[in-house]
Amino acid sequence: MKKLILPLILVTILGCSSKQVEQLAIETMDNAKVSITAAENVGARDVAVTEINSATEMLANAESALQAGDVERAYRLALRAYLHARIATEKSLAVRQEAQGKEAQAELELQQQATEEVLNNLEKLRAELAARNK
Amino acid sequence: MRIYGWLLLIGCLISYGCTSLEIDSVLLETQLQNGQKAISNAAELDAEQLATDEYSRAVKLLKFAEQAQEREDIAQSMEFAYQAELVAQIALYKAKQQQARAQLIAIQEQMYQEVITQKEYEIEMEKIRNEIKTMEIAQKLKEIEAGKQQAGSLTTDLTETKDALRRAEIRVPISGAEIFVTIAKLTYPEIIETAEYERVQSAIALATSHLERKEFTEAEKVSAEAQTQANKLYELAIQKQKDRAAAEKSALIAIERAQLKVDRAESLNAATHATKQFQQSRSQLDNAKKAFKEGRYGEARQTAEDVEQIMDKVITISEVAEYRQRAQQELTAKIKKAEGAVASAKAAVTEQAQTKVPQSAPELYELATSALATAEAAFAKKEYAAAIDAAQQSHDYLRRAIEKTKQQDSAQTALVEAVQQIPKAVVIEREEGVLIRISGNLFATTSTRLNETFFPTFMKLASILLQDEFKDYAVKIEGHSDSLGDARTNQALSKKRADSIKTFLINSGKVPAKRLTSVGLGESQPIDKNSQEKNRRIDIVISKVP
Repeated sequence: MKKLILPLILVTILGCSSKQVEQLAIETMDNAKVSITAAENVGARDVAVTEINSATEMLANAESALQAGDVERAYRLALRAYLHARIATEKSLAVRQEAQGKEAQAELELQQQATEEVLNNLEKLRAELAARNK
Repeated sequence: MRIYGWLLLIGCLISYGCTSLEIDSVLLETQLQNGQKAISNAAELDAEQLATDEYSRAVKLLKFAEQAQEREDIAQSMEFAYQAELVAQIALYKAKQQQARAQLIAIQEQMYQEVITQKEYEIEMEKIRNEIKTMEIAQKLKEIEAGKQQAGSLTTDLTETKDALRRAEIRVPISGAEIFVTIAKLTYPEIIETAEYERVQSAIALATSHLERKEFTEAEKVSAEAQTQANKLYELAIQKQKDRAAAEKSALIAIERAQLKVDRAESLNAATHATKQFQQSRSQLDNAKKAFKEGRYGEARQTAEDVEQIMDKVITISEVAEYRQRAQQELTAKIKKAEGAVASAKAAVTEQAQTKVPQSAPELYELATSALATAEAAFAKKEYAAAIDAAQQSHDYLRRAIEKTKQQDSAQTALVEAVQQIPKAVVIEREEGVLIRISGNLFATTSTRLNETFFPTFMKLASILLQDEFKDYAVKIEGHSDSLGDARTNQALSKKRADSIKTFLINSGKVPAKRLTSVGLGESQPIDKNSQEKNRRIDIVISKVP
């Protein structure tokens, strides 16, 4: 009986708030779309292909579900799409950050070489000065 | 309408309830584990600190999922677990980002540090450079200071410089003079022994000493004089050099001439004809050559000329001596030749005296003899050429005489051979010609008519006489008789018989009458006392017409 009551309540709530759920689903889908665009803007198509594809796919599914009138399913799929899009974004950012780190590392090495060279020149100059002071 | 709505709801509910019940609890467990695992991964990357919001949300969601599981709300639990996994992943990537950023910042800080260090180094370098530059400038300043000092001292030296210039100016003529002196020395080294040389040198010395004492006016004057004198000295040297060259040439010529004369004298055997003079002059010539080599040209020339003069005399003497010697030799040769010629001619004449030649060619032999006499006379008078000529003439004559004799001998022989062919005849050879004696009964007693048996004899004789080679021969027909009867009659008969033979030879033999003579000798020349028959005969004498 208990098993029957809870869903009944849920359905009732859901049924009652079906309009609200639909609204929520649409908003979430919008959020997912924005997030996908954001992910694409940070280069997710290059470095987080699986994640962005999942997001896109789930958004499409959510739209299908919404059109089918399954608002709750639409909401859940939209939420998933949103989360996948976020993952794609964060992953892309992380990859970019790491790439920047590597670049900076390389630059640092070059700089270290340059510094060393300058040091060498400095040593020479010091020697010259010492020779002149003799 | 509402009823349908409810009915639908109920249907949905039923279908929903049924499907929820069918969700596999294993799947849920797996999903929960995935969520937990994702959270752990994020935690490993320190997501709790670095992505607090996402991490705590994930943890919360997982909690919800577990609560839902406890409520046996499997679908809800699945949903929460799934969301927890995704959010944990977001937390993980955020943490990664944070870490990467922190790392980047660290690198950048290091970078700044490096750049700062580099800049510090560069600053120090610049400082050092400046220091070096300062030192260099100080050095330059020092140099400029030194230059200034030098300039100061230069100003003080200006007077000296002027003096130096003046000195250099005056040194020009002095140097010129010195150069001319040097050239003069090179041209004619002996110039240093002259007074001119001394004068120039002392002028140069004087000018130099004036110059040393800065007495420029005097120095200038003296140096100009020195230059003029040096010029003159140079000209003198040239002249002397020319003179010496001329002297050398004339000495050389004189020596060559003397040498030629000496050679000539030598070829004329002067060493034997004028020994002392020749030897002396030759050694003098050697002296001249020596003098020439040592540069004493005047002496060399004089000596050579002396030698030449003496050699002229020596040559004359030698020539005369040579001429005499040669003339003597020629004379001796001529005498010898003449002597030989005369002796040879004489020997030839004497030799031929024993032969037939004097008889066969008496005139030529006589000429040869007289020529020999002439030759001997000439030789005695020392006319050797004439003697040789005469001897030669004698030889020629004698040769011709011998030739003629030989010719005659051959004619005689031919004649004898020819007449021996005559039948019934006895041939008696004579010096010139032959005697053909025909004895026997040529005629009948007291007859003058030739017996026919003797016709061939006289025809043969006629034919011989008519031959070309014997046409110069004359024929004398002698009639001889025996001593029987009167002598006068015998003589007449013998004459007639001789004439008869002559007539026969003319008529039958066709012998020209002028070649024939006949004579009757009677019984005056008998040849055999015991045979009257032998005494009756005809002798035919064939002899050459003189």
